[in-house]
Amino acid sequence: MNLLCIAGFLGSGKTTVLLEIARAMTEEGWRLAVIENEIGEVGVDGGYVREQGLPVQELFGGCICCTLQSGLAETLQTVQSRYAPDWVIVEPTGLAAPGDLLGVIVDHCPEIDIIRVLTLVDAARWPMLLEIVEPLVTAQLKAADVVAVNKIDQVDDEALASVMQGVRALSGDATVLRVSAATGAGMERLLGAFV
Amino acid sequence: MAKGHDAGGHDHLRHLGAKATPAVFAARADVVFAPSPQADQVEVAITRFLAALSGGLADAGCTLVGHIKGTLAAPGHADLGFHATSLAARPLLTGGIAGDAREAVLTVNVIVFGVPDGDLPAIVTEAWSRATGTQAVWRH
Repeated sequence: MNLLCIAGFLGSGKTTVLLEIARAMTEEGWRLAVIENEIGEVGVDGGYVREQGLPVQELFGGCICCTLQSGLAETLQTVQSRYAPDWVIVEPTGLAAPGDLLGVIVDHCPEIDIIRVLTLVDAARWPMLLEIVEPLVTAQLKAADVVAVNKIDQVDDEALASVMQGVRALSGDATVLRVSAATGAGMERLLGAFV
Repeated sequence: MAKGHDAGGHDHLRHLGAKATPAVFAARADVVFAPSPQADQVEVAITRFLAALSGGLADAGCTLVGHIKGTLAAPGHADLGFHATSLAARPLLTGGIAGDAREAVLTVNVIVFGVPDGDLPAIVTEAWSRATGTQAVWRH
């Protein structure tokens, strides 16, 4: 079983991109399962993803990178035994630091063969995010294999250039792509990174 | 912060200081329509709710919206979804309630910054009351 973690701040488009990647993976004939994590006790995204025909396990009331670490390990084992997927796609809460999450997986889930991290960035809110939650955004970027700067349709060229420069400076060796999940711009290249 | 939530347990957020401490509200409420509304009336009510909520959050000092999202689900009548990441921008509405639904379940999930944890449930409840003239009884 392989694992794709789709990280990124709240409202960056994780669920929308998850569904696009899942669609492309399904078309390739791969079996999938999804783990949805919400910090609140009541979730919204899990039901929506399930309506799209994907098997979903949900973890509520905390974050799988810290307060629900043991829950993540147990849920991955449940997913493996129940669905035996080729890929499990994990959508943590937008407050999660994926590097911490990967530590849990490496320590407790030896059945995972490949781990990949996609981090989404909301181009429209980049300056505000840097001002208020910069350490979290930095942690999310540093853990990424691929960074997708999303919502590029909502910013002008000058602002986008600034976002791309800032993201590249914080992303290490990650591949940085620019996309709009809403319009489809750049999505083919993003999907190609995982399928 | 609503009952049962544990955002304070995020070790990686603790060092960010008060301005980066999220307030979380996540709950469901049963909604009864009397009389049964048309689909566009439901959309108007949700739009009013989100506008009232944005106003309440702004007044409370909200510095950043993580997300404001949720659904209004009426069995047999489909769902209306809503999503916003800004107090100023128009929220995204998806789907819709079809037919003459009398009862629905409202799910609301709000994560914001700059608002005291303890104030958020009252802000959401007041917004719903102002928008619809009814009281929401939340189930967490």
